[in-house]
Amino acid sequence: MKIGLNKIALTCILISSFNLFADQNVSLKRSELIDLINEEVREVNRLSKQKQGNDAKLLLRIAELYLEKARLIREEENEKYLSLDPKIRGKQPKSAFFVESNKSFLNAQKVSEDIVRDFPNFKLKGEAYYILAFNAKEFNQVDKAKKYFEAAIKTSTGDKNTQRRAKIALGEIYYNDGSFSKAESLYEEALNGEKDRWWTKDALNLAWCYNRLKKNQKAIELMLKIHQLSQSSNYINMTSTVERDIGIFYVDAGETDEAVSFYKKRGVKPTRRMISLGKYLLDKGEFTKAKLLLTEASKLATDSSEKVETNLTLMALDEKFGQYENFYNSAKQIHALNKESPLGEADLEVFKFNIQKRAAGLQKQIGERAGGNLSDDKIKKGNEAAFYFGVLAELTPDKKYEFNYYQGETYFAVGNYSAALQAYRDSHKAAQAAKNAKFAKLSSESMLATLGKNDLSKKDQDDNTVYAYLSYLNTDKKSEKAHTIYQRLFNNYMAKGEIQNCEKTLISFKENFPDDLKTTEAMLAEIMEYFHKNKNEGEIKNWIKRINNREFLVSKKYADKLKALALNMQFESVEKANTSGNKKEALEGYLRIYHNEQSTDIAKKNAAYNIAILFHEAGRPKETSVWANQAVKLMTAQDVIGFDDAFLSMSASLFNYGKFDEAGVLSENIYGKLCATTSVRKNTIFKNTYVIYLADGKINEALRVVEKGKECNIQNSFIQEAQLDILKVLVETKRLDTYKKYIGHLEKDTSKWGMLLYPIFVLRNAVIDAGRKEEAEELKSKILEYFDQAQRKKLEIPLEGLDSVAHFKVIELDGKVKRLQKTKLEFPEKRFNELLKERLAELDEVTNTALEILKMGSGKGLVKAYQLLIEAYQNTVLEINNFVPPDKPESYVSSFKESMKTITVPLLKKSLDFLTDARKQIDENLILSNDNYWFMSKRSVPIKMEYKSLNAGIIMDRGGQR
Amino acid sequence: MKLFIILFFTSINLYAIDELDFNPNADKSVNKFRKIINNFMDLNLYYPAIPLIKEYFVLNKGNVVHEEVERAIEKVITNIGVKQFEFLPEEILKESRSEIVKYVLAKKYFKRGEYEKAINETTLIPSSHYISPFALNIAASAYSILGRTKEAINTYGTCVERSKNMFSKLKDANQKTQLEINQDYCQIGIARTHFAEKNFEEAESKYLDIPKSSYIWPETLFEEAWNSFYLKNFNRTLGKLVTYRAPVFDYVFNPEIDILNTLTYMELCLWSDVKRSVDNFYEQYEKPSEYIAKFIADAKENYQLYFRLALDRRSKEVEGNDLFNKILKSIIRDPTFNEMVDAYFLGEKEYATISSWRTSRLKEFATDNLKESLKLQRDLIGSYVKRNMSLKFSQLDNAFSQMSYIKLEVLSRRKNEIYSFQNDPTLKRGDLQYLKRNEKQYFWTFNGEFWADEIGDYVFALKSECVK
Repeated sequence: MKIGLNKIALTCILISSFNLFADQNVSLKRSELIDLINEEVREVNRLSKQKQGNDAKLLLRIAELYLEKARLIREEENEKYLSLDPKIRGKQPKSAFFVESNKSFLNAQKVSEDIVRDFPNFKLKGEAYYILAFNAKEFNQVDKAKKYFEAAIKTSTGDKNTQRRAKIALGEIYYNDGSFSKAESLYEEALNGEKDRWWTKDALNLAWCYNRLKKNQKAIELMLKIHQLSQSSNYINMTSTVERDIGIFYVDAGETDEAVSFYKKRGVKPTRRMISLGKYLLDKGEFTKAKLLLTEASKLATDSSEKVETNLTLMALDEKFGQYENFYNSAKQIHALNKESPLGEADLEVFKFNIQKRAAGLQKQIGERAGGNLSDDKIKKGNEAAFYFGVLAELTPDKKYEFNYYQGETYFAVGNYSAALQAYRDSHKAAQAAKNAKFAKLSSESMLATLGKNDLSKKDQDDNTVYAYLSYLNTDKKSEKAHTIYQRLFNNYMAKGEIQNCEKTLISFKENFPDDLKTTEAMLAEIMEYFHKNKNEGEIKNWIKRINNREFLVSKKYADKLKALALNMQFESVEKANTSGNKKEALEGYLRIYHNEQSTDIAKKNAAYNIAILFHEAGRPKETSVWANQAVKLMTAQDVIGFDDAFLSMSASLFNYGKFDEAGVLSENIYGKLCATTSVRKNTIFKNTYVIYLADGKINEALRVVEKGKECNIQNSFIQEAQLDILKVLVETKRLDTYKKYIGHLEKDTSKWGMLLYPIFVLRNAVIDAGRKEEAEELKSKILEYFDQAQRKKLEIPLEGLDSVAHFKVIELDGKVKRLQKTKLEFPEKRFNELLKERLAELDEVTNTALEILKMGSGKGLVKAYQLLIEAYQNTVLEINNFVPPDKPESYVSSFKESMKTITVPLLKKSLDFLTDARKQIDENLILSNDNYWFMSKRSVPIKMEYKSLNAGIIMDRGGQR
Repeated sequence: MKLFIILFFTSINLYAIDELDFNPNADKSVNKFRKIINNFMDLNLYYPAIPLIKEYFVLNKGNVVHEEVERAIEKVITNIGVKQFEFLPEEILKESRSEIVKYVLAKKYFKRGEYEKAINETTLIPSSHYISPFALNIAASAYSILGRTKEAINTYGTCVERSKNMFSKLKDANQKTQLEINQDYCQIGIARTHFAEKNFEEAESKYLDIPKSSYIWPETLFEEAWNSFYLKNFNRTLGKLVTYRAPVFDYVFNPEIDILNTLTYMELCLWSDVKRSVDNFYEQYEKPSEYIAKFIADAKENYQLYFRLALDRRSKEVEGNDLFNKILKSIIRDPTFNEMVDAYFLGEKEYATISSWRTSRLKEFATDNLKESLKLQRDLIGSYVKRNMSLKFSQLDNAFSQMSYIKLEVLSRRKNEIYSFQNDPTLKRGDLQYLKRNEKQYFWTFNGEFWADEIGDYVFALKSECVK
């Protein structure tokens, strides 16, 4: 393993570029490199020390390292120097910024000088001179550099490489001096013989020497040679440089065609080269040639940058020659190219400068002729100028509003209103973005002015009016003009159905014109109408809310109108569903309305009623009950009157479904609602209510209802009926204490005595059953007393009351009849006559008593009275007919019988009359009495055949309950 | 590669000596010398005989060497070693028919680079002679140097076999040890030959045939490390080299170990390791080496000083620094040195024997001869020590340069990396996937401790940080 300096690439640092560091880590990497070099220097020094400083090769290495380090430090110092503010930079001498690098350069120089001095025979001494020369060059000591390079050339006879490099470096100095001949010979010497990798690069300098020395053919030949060798990987590839420069050489040689041919022949795109050449010719003042070349180049140009460059250059030429048509075409091309691929900054600036200049000129020309007729020329120029302004607007974002405005003005001037409108609009947008009030106002006013032009199409009008209005209002919101524009804008939006914009406009208007209630209300009305038409009740409610919150001031009339509208809308759809048979949907709709917080009380009331109805129709008693009650609760008495039929129907339905509780509650609620009204219906409701309660055995509730009857002005008959019904139920349910108390309560009112006869009679029966005879007698007396009073006061006495009183009269009659029947006839004749007389007198009393009963009007009393009366008469007839005088001759007997007929026949007839009357009365008065059978039987002998039910039987109560 | 071979065959110097001047006595009768030699042999006095034998050769030049003298030479060399005869002129040595002298001559030719002659000389030694395996070693080495690989390997093979066979025939323990060592050297010679032929994989396998118990095994580690290096098995190289850090090898001084270690780091592009390694080397050896340089310069040709120093070092550390003691220790462990010292002490015993004689001319003659021979033996030892010390110092001096160049190489590569923007910081160290092994090796993770059964089997797992 042999490791030595020969393995370490040292010399390349002298020819390679140090500008390797282009990234952001440059400084770090450079610093790392410097550290490494320092370490290398230390290590080589250590080695050198081991060799007692006698190894010139090591010293040379040290010199090279110092040089390398110097270059790196110099780069860094340069960067720092250039980054400084020029004012700060100028305060110190330049050398102060390069202290460190200078130190290293001087170190390299010192070591190299030591080598040159101490090792005269060192075969690499030329390299030391080379370093010295390089150093001198670095310090701009050109003469010294030349001297050292010459020494390097002289002393490196054994080191051809160093010699060659020194010659090339010296050649470069001479070339830069303008000493082309000296440079030429040095380059020729260096490049003669074996060609190294760098030959192509160095030969290019020689070619330029030839060019400068006007040895054009030699220059071209060498360039061709370099081009050829560059194709090999053994050489630095200088192809692109050759292709860049050879065109110039051809042109200088007067062989422009050859240049083009060169490029074409080598498959090289000639455009770029031709552009360079064109520019080269321009610089030389050969404009015609340049134009030709560039025109040709523009045809061949394929990529964007080439096209841009040719057109840009041509634009300059066209302007110079006044060929504006071409100028315009080039501008259009560049504009299109820029869209494909943005121009470089410099190109962009040139382009903008050119077209702005031209646009300004054109605008001046148009302006000069303003007011006259629009000639074709003017229109053409106007359009051209407008194009330039448009492009400028596009390419100059910070001045877009200005250029677009000028564009608009130009279009306007040449009557292209549609385009003008768009340009103004663009200008306005840009001005707003840039917050440039001046141009925003200018452009918006211009838009309004343009919109006033008759020539404008409807589409343009439609597309721009709103924008124009808005943009105007942006700058002016309070003027009279603004007042008008607001309304126009509102109408425009409304016409297009852009309701949100209408709202915005309204709000803005209201803010800026708070006192103009009339216009505000008109706008509001339109908005509401829109929502009404679109059945958007939510929005209407929303707006009503805002109005209610006094966000918008409107008249009361209008506010009421709105409320009605809202309610109407709320129910419209639901009712539609209802009527169309979609009950479910309707029900859901009403429920929504009911539960909606925004729904008014009226809406809720109506909804609840309709829900109740729908449930009622659907046969859902429970829900019907709930919602009907809710509806009644929300309704006024008048509302309930309006829907009383329906409510009664619902209540009845609930009853029918056996929902007595619900039916009762609903009924009572309705009753309660109607209490204070004059509705005739309330009597029915009253009756229904207590009847339902009674049916459900809810006596207390029924009592409550009936008690309230007077307060609610219920007809007396209804109340009485109710009270009787209650009494009946109390009896039926054997609640005698209550019954008794209730009678006691009722009898305080003497007007009720007639109706209380029967209930007291019932009570008496019960008392009898309980064995309380005295109390029964009291009650009997009470019945008779009340009957008398009632008759006297002509109070109404229910039939049952009459039957009750008749009951006592019939007993009396029955007693009289029985006494009569006990009077048996007997002889002697006198006795017979007395007894007969007595009997007839008794019969007369019976008849009178019976007639009293018949007059009472009690059906049952009537029937019984007739029965007893007829029995009394017929018994008397039978007693007489059956009597045979004892111990008397037949003739006597016969005569006797005959004479008796005069008594018995009228009596019998009278009894038969009574029978006929009785039957007639029963039929006519529809009397239902247990005793009817007696009269209705066709039997010759009446037999008592009445039907009596057994108490043990199953009795169905009124409600069908057991 | 060239550097390596040179380093390699310094081991041949086992029997090498420096040239010393020799002035034979004159005015002596050949037969008288022969008789005296014979008498000394009968008395087992070898040192007094040495000058006589040498003189005999000079006086007897051009004539056939007497059989008795031939036998005496063999006996002397067997007991004291070849050193005393190696510097005899070639023409004199050629006179002898002794196999051992032929061996001495072969060695002489070999050392002079006359490999063909050396080979020819060894062919004259019969296979039954106990020196034959040693001669085969020389022949094989000569073949190897001449690039006659096949013959070299065959001859080394024969050497191994013959050494084994001869072992049972020998009774002397020293001889047996020598034979064992010879066998191992022939064994390693096969590996070395493969190595020289760049058959690294074959060489690797052959190196593993040297048992760890072998005296020469420690030095094969270094060679194996190189072999692995050429196989680009750098982690194994590092593993082999780290073995030298085991306390049991504290006597091994070979700066090449550090160089190879550093080179390996370089191959793995472990720049910081390289730098650290170089810096450590300088730190460890730079100053101590200055002491050694001064010592060598001051001691000049004072062989007695070197002789004393070496003998003192056998029992204790001597004045100076650690490096100085370490180098001395590496020398005194050398079998050649020890054989020479043993032979020297044998002379002291002979001196005791002769001293017990009554005063006579023979006693005086024998004493003079013995003193002369013993003085020569002492100087040979001193010279051997000096030469080895100078060699080690030279190696060290050279190593400094090598280390510097390695570091410069690394700095240069690092610079190139930066110039070319290539730097991959994602590479990490230590991973088994970078290991390669064959059936004779086992993997061990080196954790800084040394276990007897693991020694030499350490393998590192460093990943190359070279940019692909």
